[in-house]
Amino acid sequence: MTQADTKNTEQDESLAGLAGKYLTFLLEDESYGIEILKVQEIIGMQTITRIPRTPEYVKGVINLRGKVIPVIDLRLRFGIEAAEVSRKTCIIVVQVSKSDASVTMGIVVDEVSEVLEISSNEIEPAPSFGTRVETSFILGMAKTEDSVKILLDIDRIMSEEEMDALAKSAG
Amino acid sequence: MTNQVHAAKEKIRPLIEKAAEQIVMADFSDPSELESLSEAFFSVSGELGDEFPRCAKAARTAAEMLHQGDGGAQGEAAPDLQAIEQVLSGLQSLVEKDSADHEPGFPDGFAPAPQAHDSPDAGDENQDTLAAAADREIMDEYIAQQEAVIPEIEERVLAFEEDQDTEVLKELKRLLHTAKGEAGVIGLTGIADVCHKLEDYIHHREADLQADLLLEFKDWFEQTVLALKNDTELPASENLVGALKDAIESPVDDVEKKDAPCGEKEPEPAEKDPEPEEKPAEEDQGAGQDQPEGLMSPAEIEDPEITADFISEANEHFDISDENLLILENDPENEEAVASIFRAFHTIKGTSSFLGLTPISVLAHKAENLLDEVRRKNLDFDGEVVDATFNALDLLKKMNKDLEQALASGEMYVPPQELPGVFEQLKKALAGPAKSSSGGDSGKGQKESRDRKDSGQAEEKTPQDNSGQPSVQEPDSGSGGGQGPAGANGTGSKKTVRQTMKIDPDRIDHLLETIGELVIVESIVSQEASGLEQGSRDLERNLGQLKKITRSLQDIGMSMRLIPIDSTFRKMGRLVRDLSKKSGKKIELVMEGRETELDKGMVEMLGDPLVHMIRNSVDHGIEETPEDRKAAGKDPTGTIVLRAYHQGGNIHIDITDDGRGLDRDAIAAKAIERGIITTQENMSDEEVFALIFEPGFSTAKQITDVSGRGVGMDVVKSNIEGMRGNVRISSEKGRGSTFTLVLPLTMAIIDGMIVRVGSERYILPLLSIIESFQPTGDMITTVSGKGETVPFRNQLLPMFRLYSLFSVADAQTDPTSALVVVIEDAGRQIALMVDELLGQNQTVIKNLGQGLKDVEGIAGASIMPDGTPGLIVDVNGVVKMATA
Repeated sequence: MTQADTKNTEQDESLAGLAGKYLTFLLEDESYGIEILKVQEIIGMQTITRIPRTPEYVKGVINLRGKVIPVIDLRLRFGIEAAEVSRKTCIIVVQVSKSDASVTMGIVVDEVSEVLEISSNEIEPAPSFGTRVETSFILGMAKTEDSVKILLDIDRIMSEEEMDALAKSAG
Repeated sequence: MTNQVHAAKEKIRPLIEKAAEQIVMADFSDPSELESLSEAFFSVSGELGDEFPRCAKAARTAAEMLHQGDGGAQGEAAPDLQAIEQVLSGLQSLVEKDSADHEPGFPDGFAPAPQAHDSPDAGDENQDTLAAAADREIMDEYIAQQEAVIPEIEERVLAFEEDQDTEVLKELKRLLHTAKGEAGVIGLTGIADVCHKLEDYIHHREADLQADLLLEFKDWFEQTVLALKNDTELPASENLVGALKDAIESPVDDVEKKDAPCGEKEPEPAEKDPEPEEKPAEEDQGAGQDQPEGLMSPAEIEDPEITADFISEANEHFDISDENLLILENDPENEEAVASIFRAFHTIKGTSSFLGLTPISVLAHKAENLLDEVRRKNLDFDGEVVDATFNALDLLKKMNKDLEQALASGEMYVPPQELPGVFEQLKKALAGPAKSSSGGDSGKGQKESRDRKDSGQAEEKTPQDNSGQPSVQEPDSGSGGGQGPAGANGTGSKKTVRQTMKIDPDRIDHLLETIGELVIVESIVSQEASGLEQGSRDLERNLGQLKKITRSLQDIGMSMRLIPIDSTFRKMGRLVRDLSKKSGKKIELVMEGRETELDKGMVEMLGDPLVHMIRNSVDHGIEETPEDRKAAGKDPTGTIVLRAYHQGGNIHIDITDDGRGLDRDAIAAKAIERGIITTQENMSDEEVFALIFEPGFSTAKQITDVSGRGVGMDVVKSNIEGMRGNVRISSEKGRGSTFTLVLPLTMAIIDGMIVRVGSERYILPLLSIIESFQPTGDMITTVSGKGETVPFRNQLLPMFRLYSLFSVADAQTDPTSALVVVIEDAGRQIALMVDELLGQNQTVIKNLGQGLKDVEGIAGASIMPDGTPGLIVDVNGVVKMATA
């Protein structure tokens, strides 16, 4: 019991640190949020050059004003079925911090919604689904007036180990 | 009694103060200063006399030590200043604190311990302990390092046991090799021997390594390091060495007999091992005592900004000194060169002492002293003096590098352990035979005859006689090195100084990146404009103008990163000199095309591979002795030519030796034995020669400390490939070999051939494409239902379909309506099936973004004319993928 208590206070503290502005977007009918400070820009869908021997969710690379950046499909990353590219489909360019440097990366989402100010009392820890659902990249859940947004830890969507692993598994 | 005591104390007070002052200020390479210090101690000892027998004895011992030390010619008995300082502070405390004779603490051996008044005189044994104490710091560092290495060794051994991965074995070998080297450096020959033994074992029995034995080694090593740490007795190594020896000699079908002698020789030193902890003490004795410990202890970097400036400035001085040293070697009389090196050392000394970098300033000071003697013509610039100067310069370079690293990581600066040794050498050189100040003809004559006798030292020629061919020639000395044979006019190093500007490399990179973007946008706009129905004349003209300007911007941008290859070549002159001295072979290095310009990053990266290749040429290429060469009808002096030139948009660097040449049969035999190939039939010479790049491949029967482990060529290949270049070998047995490095002009730009595979486009580096053709149906032969081959220039090449390697769905599957591109990697050719060739382009290379760097078969990306990224095929990776 006491253990659970300390755990709760710890969680509360860490959740308080999550308050701030989030860019929210849709995948299928679920709503997600990314810390606005991680977002560099939003660009329209464009031709993506496929990279052979990488997992399916790595869509490939695009040319962002002369810089080549990798793009991943969040739908496929979360195990949601791929969707047709629509007019609303776009790429959110994010700055992911890795242990030593910051990496620019694009993520394909169905539709960008809005920028929301989320206060700490709206945030709850990610529920545990056991091992069936991977929650390591979920910072928390935000209950806003109309819906629940899943706040993503973008740094962990593609962890270094995963990047390494994918490069190896692909080979 | 008390009065007497006080009187004696008052008398010695000024003496001690003076001595203290001297010891701080003194330059210990100056014998006269040592002598006066010694006198001061003697008189202190006299004054203390009977009242303080113990302190008097300590002072006398110190005085004697100093006295012996200034006999500098022998050099070995250099005084241990740290101990002397301790004696001094003991005496000071005696005077200041009114203490009794037995109270002040003196270092061991200087005075009898208070309780045992009649212990023996300060002997050699005690000096050993002193030296060992001075080494303690180095030892601690070593121990800390090895403690980190041990788990790595274990991890590798276990991983190797698991899946017999040769990559892991290679890493393990590297670790062992490093461990051996480090142990050797600090004199732990016991450890070094065992490591060497284990290396031999791995080398000979790679096929059936017993992990148990490897782990046994690791345990032993761990215990040894622990013992070193706790100063306890080291574990015995006989069992391990014995087991290794047995393992090497135990019969296995393919163990070569010729390796046996190498194995038998080793255990001898290793068996002497039980008490290796004494060895460092003995070996480093002279070194350890030479300098106060303060010199060797880590120093805080006080002013990072000025230190950074110092580092880059020092590097420039090093370059200048290197160049002038080489001139001097050929022309010892060149005053200009001496003065210039002297100035360089002097500047380094000044700045470093201002920055509180005592080890650097002291070393520079000593080297400066030596050169001053040369400058004043008290010393000839030859033999010992040359070596000492070179070594001092090398060490300074190393220290500067260490300093740079320390600065970057924010750590303390730790002086290198070689320092005392170089001090010693400088001192010896300084004390060396002084020539008569007039430097008359007789002196010169002597020197010449001495040099002639010294047949092993190829570089030591007398320029007076044959200044026309100094041993380091540059027939092609252009803008890069304006110093021809300096002896000819005496003012060799004068050249016009061009104004240069230092620019932060990041800014240049940023500029280049921006230019790259401009190039891309320009080509996109041009393409869009050409698609317009009613393009206006003006637009067309303006676009043409834009294109021209963009291209010239690109050229200028690229040229900003280009520097002459000279700086790397210069180092090779030095290397050949050292190697030829070491091996006793006479070798002449001819350098051509030093002014050839290359990307700065590449010039630096070329250093390592060139070192390995030159070592290889010296060690394996050139015949053992001048007699061997004469017998083969060649000039007794071997020649290595280093030549850089442009060819077809690439840079070629040839390393040519006129030695034995590569032995095709021996290489093939070794490769068959190692299971790399099954037969040498149908293999071109070049393909066979390329086998020497296989990791661990060596036909050397004897492993020397120069080469033979088979690691070097592996390094060459991977480094050159890292620069997107390749290595070609041509060789004629008995006549010599030529290694050609083919490199792109810059690493930032690639000449590529765009190929289409289905809806995907890939870029093949033009450098590796030999030819492309459309096969007919009867050309394709299927081998056992899987592999395919096509004939090409009287050979059957394996053919691979790019679409299946890269899993492209919508590609042409019928070879007869597709194209075959023959690509080459390290002498090996394969055929790659693609849909069609779309054309050439020259583009800026980008990486795939962090984390996607290591995609197999892809070397990077590049922006296509239409603005989308195209993938650059990694030819080496594809060949590996295809043949895996």
